[in-house]
Amino acid sequence: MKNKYILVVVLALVVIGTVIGAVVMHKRSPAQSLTSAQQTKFLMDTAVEIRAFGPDAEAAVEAAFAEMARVEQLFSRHLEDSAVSQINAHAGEWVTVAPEVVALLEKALYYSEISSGAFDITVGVLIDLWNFGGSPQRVPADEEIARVLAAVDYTAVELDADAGRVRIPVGTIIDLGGIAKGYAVDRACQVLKQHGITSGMIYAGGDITTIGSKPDGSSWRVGVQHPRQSNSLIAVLEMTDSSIVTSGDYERYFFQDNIRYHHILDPQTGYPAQGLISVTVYGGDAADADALSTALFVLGWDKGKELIESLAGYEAILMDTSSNVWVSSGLRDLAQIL
Amino acid sequence: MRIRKGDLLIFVVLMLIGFFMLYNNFFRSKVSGDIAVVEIDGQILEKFDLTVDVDGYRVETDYGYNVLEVADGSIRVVEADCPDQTCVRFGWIKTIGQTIVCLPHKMIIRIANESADLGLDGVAY
Repeated sequence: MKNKYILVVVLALVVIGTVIGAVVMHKRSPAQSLTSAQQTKFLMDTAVEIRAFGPDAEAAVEAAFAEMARVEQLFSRHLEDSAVSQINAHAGEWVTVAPEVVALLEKALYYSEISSGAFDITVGVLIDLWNFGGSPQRVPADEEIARVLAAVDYTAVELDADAGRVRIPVGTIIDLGGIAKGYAVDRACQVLKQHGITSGMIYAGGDITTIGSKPDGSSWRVGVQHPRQSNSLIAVLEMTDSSIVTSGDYERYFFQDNIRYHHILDPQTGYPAQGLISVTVYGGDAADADALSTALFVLGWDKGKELIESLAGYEAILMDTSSNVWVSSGLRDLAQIL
Repeated sequence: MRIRKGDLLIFVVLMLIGFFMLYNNFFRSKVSGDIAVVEIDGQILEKFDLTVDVDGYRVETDYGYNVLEVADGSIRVVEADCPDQTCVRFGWIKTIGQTIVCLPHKMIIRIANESADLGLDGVAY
């Protein structure tokens, strides 16, 4: 009889031991060969957080931040030595630039073309006129807007890719703010991967790019902020190796006479784009998603839908002023609309 | 040596005790409440338990000040001396992964959970 009890106890211990062992192994095995790093820095006029898992995550994250700083040095309009500042300072003349600058300008002009100018890097003068975030904040006079609009025209940008040079008309100011941040994130991702990072996430001023899946193998779960209720989300997405960029009228804005004036300007009218309040673009590259989110926001509900459905590899979620939500066909299985 | 009802009972009781200990060790301790982490320039300054209301917590650094409020499981910036006031206008946040950023003050408030792995990895805005 005594033996039997011992047997029962032993059996119970074996079962429990096995379960504990399995749980411990499950929790530890994926993480132990990896190191992890998480760091936040302020650059490109925004907060950038990088999370990475890999053989030497700390070094990888450092290198990724260094790469983003390098890209900022090339494309910031507010740094005197940047390629973009050189082009602007020498408007009217050919300016020789690095192949990397030619490539991003080509991409920017491509998005201008397919969006019929809804995305336009020559909006620099317009951005300066509105001066969002500056003070005093006011709506410019119609005449002022009409005057600067003459200098807003992407077709006037001459790009000689073979010779590696670019020329813009006198009076025009290019601003790559709508695509350079995404490009910097793409470059940072490349650097992380070169350092052996197999799982990671870059969170740059509200835009998210992921490398691989999470260390436990599951997808990254990302929410999309509701543009009017800070406490709510409009959707939750599952993502791996992809980017999500959101443009909204709630990020930078001011009210004058009870009208909201936000920072996403329509290059055709010179005024804040009307119709949509939030656009989220999902796809492989952050630079492309970045340019597309602005383009769709300016194009509005109908033309925005048309453009995103015509592009392979990029999807979108749109919300209009009446809070109607539309999800592009390729995202309906990946996004949970709340 | 036949197994009787009593043996089975002992077995089940032992199993229950075992699994209870397992649950305590591995799971229950992880399921703590959501917190708000306040970072300045990438360094964690303060963590708030969102179940405890806090009225008018002042964060003051060389960059300036932000006054925070915790209520109903949410956190917001009530007041700040930053030029853009983006952090104040953002309003309340409560969902894991949500953030409020005050760029001029290099301050980030993020909703997290000590046990991680719960909820969202981030919120796009």
